[in-house]
Amino acid sequence: MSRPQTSRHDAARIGLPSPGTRSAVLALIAGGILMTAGCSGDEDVPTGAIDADDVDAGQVELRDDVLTVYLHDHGDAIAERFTDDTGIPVQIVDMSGGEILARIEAERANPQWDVVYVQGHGSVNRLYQEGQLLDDGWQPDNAARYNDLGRQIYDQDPDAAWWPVTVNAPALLVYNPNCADTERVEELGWDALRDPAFEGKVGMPDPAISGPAYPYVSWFFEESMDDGYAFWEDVFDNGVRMYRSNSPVAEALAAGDICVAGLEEPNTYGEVEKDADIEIVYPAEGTPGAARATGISADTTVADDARAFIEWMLEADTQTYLTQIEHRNKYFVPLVEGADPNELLPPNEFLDRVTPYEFTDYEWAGDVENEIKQWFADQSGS
Amino acid sequence: MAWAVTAALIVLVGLPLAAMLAHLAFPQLYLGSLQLGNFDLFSDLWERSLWRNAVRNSLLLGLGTMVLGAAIGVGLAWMRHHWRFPGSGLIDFSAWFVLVMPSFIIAQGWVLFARSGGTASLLGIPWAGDVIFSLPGLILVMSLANFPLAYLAFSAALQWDVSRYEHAARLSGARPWTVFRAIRLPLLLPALLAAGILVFVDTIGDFGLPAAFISVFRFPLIPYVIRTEIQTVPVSFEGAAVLAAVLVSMVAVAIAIQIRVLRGGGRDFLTAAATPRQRPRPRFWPLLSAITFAFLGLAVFAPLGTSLSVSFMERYGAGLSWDNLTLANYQAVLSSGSALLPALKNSFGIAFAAAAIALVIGFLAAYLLAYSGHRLRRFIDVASTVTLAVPGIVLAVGYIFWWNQRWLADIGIQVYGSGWAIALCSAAASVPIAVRVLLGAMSQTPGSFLSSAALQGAGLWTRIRAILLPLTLSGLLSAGLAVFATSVFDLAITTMLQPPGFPTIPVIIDEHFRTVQYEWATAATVVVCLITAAVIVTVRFSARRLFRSYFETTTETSRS
Repeated sequence: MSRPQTSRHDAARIGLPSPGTRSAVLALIAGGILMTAGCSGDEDVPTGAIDADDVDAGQVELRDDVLTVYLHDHGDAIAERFTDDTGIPVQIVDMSGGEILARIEAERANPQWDVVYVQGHGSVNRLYQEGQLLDDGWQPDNAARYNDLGRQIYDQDPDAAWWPVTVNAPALLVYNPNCADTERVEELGWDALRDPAFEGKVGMPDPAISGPAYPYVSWFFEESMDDGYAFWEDVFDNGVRMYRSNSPVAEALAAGDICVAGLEEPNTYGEVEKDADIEIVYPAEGTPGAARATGISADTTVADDARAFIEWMLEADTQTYLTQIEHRNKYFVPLVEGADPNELLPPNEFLDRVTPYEFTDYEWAGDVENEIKQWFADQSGS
Repeated sequence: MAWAVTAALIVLVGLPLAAMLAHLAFPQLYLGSLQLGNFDLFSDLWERSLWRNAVRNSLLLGLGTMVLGAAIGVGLAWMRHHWRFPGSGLIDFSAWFVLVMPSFIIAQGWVLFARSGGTASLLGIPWAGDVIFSLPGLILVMSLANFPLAYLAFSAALQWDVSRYEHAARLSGARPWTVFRAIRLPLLLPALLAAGILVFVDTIGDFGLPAAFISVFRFPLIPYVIRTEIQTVPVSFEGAAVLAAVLVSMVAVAIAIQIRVLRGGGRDFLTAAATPRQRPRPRFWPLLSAITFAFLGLAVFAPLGTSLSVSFMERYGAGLSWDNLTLANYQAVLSSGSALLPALKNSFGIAFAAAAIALVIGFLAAYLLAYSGHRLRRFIDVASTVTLAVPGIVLAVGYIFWWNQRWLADIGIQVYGSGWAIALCSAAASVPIAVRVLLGAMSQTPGSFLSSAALQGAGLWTRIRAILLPLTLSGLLSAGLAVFATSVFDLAITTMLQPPGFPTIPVIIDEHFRTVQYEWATAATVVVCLITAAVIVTVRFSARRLFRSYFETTTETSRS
């Protein structure tokens, strides 16, 4: 039959390939070529002209004059309750911890946020060091109500313009009893991650992507960088499987794909609550702890509302409420007097006392953050 | 008008890509500082093992898929166009079907299929995971997702009826093998190469597959590493720019090869009108049918059947049994308060805006290219095709670099941080499609029609409204719906540009998938696919009803 008609302009761009080729062919489909190679695309179905100006692309931007909080998880629960308690309207932007910090960096020339509230107080301190937080000497009244755990962090620099709010373990040592010997794991402690018995059966979240993973991995570097590298190199040699975040680690562990892992406390107790096949060991060498912390943007236009938000987060009532909502992140230890942790947390069947969290020096952790993260990223040994 | 189109293309395409290149030299540009960089990062391509691995993996995956994907596509096309056998139409069906499916949806299906406790192990093939989660497995998955490009390219070439040459050769005494070697093969070679290059380029820039696979299998590929450079701490805009430049160079090399080979006689397989050749039914037709059904099962049913089945499961991994079947996932996805509903509004709004913008610009650009000798023509020609060669993830990075600048915010332009960034970027990515489709339509409308109307005193608008619009309506509709459907599901652009507090469909599905809420993610996918299909069908049906007169005019012209 005859050659298909092509204009000379078409000939000029013959078969330019592209990611858009998919769409080009889709165009033909929409044009009515279906199921039979060999109809011509001359469908004669017209369309009305569309005026681009009439198009509303959805709710477009966050309002400048309303308090905007970038936080990690339990967004709506906080927004409703805060406005009920204080009458102040608030826009919550709920992203993963890593995304929040990256977004703040991308917006540095033009910040859209007023308050940040994320897991990993070292990261918040870094924002403070870089001058991105409002530092006008204000301290919340409720800072006087920190409990002992809270003091451990707050007293390192009581003038700093950021505040720890709650604490949990960025990683607990967990194992699946169906494929890991309980006594062996208890005996080894964290070294179980590099024990040849679990070769190829060890999992962890990727510190390059998952927010809580950095406080976890950096905890092993604090006494000596070399020991830290040696430890994790062994873990990599042991065939560790890297996951994008903590949820898939928990799932792989419950399914028996992996036997041993460091898993964030909220995920761990989420699985415990579901009765999954997960056991926890609190090793003798300790359990790392990291606080969720909050600070105010140096660029904020609603400083008073932001301060009210910080005060409200440090209320015992608020923290008690957050341990009770139906949410993955109710498993934390409050840092203010008068609030109790969620009842599943220690003391419990795994540990007969309150968790002895160990905090790294957050200034140090911020200094070595890029180095350690880059090292982990470069260990991609697939 | 030419100036307006040029300005629009500069804003949509030129400035973002220029901003990206500028960041190679001035890494602090996004902070508003013109400090010259030290170009150290280029050496990181060799020194940082993550980058080295990503570049190597991308090349291996691209080349492997090019070979396997093209082999699958070419083999199927050969079967389909040389023999008649029951089920041959299914090959076309699976090619189209796989083509319109967003790659991350297909990849998610494969992950669910091959995971431990997934469909494969329920079917008694527990080793599927070890096969799929490896480089050869990824090449297989990618080939099954991208073979339609090769299939269509090659099908178009096979429809050239060159039997006259063959008969002439046979009459001159050539043996069948000689005819094949001296006549058929040289004629098919460009199509063979085009098929391979198409698959290579689409594979190397694909963001959907690494995004879906990364939750279970760590295999660094350039598009995903670009994302992590910008969206994880430590943030490195410069790193993203360097990797984006590397990716674009790879694509450019591939295209350069293709242009060289195709020079001097191209064929545009995408608008090819096909004429089925005489196809005998061979003795071994059961074998052909068997291959077809097996292939359909592998390419379509394994990934998408898995996703569909998971959407009806109470618990993924518990298998398909009566007591594990539920409609609860659909209830959760569609109930008020579901994360999907605001995302639906946003994503469909964005897709609608992107389609409108791409259509307006595409129509005007095609008009200028087809009928005018304006001196800006050359620029419009290049600018309206360049994004074909730029992977979505790279274009999105350019958008961040350009629109996320303080001085723009200071004069009240807040594109970055609003849905418009996604809409504009999707439109920019789609302009080439709109231009190509509309040029195809306009090439069948002689310029003399417009000239004679002009002689009668019709103004430009009248000429467009009364002659060109009716004649190109089907093209407009096709292009518009294509842009609409792809924009709804564009994960790469959306994930990079999604403003805080502005949920969108692809990101929400990806998030749920990443946090192992497979049941919700698959149910949402099914719902969105159905809605999108319904929109396309409705628009086409109502357009046909509304413009019946146009419809009749067009048939008459096309007969003449």
